[in-house]
Amino acid sequence: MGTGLAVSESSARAYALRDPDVRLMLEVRDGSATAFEELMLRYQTRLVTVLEHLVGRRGQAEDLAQEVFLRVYRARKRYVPGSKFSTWLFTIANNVASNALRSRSRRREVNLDASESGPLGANPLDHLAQAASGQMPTRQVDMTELREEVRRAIDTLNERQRMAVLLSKFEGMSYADIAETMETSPQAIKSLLSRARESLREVLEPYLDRGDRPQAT
Amino acid sequence: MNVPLSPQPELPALREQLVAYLDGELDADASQRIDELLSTDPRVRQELSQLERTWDLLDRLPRAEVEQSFTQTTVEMIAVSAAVEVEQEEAALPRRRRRGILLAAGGMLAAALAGYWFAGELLPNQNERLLRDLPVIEDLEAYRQSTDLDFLRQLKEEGVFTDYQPGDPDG
Repeated sequence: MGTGLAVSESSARAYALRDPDVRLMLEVRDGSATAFEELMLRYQTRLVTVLEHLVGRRGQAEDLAQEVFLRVYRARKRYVPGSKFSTWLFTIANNVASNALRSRSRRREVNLDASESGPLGANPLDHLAQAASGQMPTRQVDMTELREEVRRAIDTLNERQRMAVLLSKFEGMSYADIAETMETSPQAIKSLLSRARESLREVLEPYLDRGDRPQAT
Repeated sequence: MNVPLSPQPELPALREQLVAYLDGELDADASQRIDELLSTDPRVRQELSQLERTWDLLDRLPRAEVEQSFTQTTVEMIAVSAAVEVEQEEAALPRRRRRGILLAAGGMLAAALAGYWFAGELLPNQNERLLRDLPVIEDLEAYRQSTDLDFLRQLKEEGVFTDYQPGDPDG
């Protein structure tokens, strides 16, 4: 990965030639503050978007994004291009977010407080069940509402499925790049994405078919 | 309306292939097999259509809009981190300098020892040579006065030179 020593010189040169962001990061390694700022500007929106959908809270997503940039900066002197820059960045993001979600989960175990849940509630399906009380008329799907439904559908995925989906959808990453980011195999990502998309379909398809919210089981 | 696929053991595998097909992750042969399935099996077509439709809905998810304050705070955090880094490097400097002096002294000592060994082992010992030539040196004046080589040879054959032992007062 980015700070690994096992990357051959020819491979590092190849990444530097192909990826302008790798070249910027090499400038950061050599002490350029302007290059770091440029990288930040290029990635901050993308990073916060993925992290926000991953952890479900905007404030926390921004904190985590800052933590990611800080780690990138601290690792700059050991940086060796071993992949695309975005793959390296989102690998760090994945680790940072996983740690944050684990900490949150531990806190929740200790303190079972409803206020600790995200803005959508502890279980998005509970929220859906309340909304889908059977009294809502069939109607044309409203855009805002649809967006909420999609967000809730995303929240039903487990952490790894969600990360794979977000990297695929928002970052347009290939299975190989997602696999590298999540430190697994492309075949595992293929299965993970398949299961994730099946879950999304189960939640969203009835809603689309009926123009109604899905019934929680 | 949904047309559920009949339960088949290969359904998860087929679904994986369909998702990979939509993601453009299949090779040419596998893509062609899916194309054939789609042209012959309406259930596969529907499965694909549903997967695609719900996947496209994710495009409705909002993208974050990062405010200027976020960028500014991040830059400040990085600046603080850089300042701490510089402080730590400066604090480590005297220690590094001491280590450098010790290393240099050690290197000089090692070089001196190596030079001493080299001189003792490899260069000719002048004292040994002087000791070996001592009988000649002691009688050098006498040899100089003699111009007769045959006479000197005769003295040598009589053992005048070889019988001499260092420290022999009669030599």
